[in-house]
Amino acid sequence: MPEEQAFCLLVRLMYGYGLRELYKDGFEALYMRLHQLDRLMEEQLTDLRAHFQELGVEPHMFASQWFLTVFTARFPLPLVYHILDVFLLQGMDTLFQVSLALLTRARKDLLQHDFEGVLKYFRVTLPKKCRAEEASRQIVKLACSIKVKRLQKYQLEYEKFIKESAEKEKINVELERLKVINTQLQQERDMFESQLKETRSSLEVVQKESVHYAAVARDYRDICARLDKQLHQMLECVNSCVSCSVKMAQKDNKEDLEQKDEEKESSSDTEARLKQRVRDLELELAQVKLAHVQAQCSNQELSHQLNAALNEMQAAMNQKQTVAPWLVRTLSK
Amino acid sequence: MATNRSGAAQRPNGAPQTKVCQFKLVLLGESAVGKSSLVLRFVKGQFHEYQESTIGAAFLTQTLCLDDTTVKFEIWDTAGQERYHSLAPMYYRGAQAAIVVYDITNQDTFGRAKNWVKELQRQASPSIVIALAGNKSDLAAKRMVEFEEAQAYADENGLLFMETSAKTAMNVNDIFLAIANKLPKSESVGGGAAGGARRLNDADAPRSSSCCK
Repeated sequence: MPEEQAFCLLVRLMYGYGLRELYKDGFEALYMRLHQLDRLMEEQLTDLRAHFQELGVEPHMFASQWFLTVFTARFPLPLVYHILDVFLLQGMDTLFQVSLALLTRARKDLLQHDFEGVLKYFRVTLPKKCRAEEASRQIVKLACSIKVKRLQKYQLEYEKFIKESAEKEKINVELERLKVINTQLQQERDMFESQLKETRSSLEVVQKESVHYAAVARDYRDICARLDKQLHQMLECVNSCVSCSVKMAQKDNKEDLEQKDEEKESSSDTEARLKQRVRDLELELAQVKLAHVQAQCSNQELSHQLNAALNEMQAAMNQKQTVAPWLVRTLSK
Repeated sequence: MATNRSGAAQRPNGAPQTKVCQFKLVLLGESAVGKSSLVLRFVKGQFHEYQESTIGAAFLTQTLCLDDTTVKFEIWDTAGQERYHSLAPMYYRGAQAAIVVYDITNQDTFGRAKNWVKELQRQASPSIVIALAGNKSDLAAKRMVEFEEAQAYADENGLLFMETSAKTAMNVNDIFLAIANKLPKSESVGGGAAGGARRLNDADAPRSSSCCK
């Protein structure tokens, strides 16, 4: 085939037949196709699909290569030619038809194998079993007889699933965030609860104490009231007795003074000193007065003596008249 | 390889009950660094100069015999092209081990390998055993990634590290052995011994066929 024609064929396969879609964007379209294959298997090869599910064999493990290479990677060329012919005739559906035909023919063998065996079968045994010319003709014949329906439905289903899982992922992220917050809040709540518990227990202690103290206070009030009553009775008793009442009054005064003294003790230090001084001065004054009285007394006595003496002297003068006049004047003063 | 085969063949003949551990291992790395070639060398002891590009992913198994344990690797050999990146999680999810491969003659593939390691550390099982393989060590003359640089990176990240050559078989078995040794052997698979052996014997015949993915 000339180069130009080959290129045209490639372009046609990529754009006309839609193969290009399979390789784009992280194989999104490939995975959609694989989902369609999975659903077709569920429809037409129920037991094999169940077996695969049980083993954990997923369509991408064996069919990625089938789809991405249109079966050219591993199968013998006679079969590849047949498949390409049909593919060019029918398009994308051929991928499913051939896949289902291969799986149908291998079904019995595959059901015998475990995970590793199944994958080895796809890699080694299956291509070998397609070598014979007859086998490849039978495969293509079987493929063409297989009806492929509801592809559109499965596509929508897959797109919905992808959208949902993207949303789920978002929700999961949000959920994780909320879980973290929730854990924090729970921790806080636990902390607060334990604090509350502590507070409650201390409150109980305090309440018990307060009940106890209230009882004590009541007892004291009772005692006080009783004593008050006794005191009143005593006072009445005392008041009815005269001498006792006087004593009581004095005692009260004394008590008052003492009280005042006590009160003033600290502040009336100077006052006390002044008082002492006053008392000293009063004593001095009294002594002075006494001395004054004594002096007056002796003065009076001396006056008496003088008068007596003067009288004697007058008498003598009258008798003698010879006494010098200066003496008379001095004595009369 | 011979020892592995004979080891596998012994079991059905009533070898004393050795513990059988089954591990899922995934190969990751830029395209054309030699992931499929490493697997082909490890599983079949072969090397194809013109190895086809992997489409999707290929599943293979191989069994190794340690002292008292038979370790069976279920290997997912993934396609390296960037377009397949979105599919990778399907294969490394639940994997107990991973080999991240780069090409020692291509610095870009080493950067890509680091990204794979980061992704595995973030997304894969936390206990996953990761090995870094600097492949194509037979082309040391064209080396662009220094051994010491890769070794330092591996040490920093707790990775097993070897430079390998699928072409000369250098360190290929060794890196799988190192992984097997590092994996915890507690999860013995009950009844897996006989089945595994049967399957392996089945597989011996078609191995000579053209299939190599």
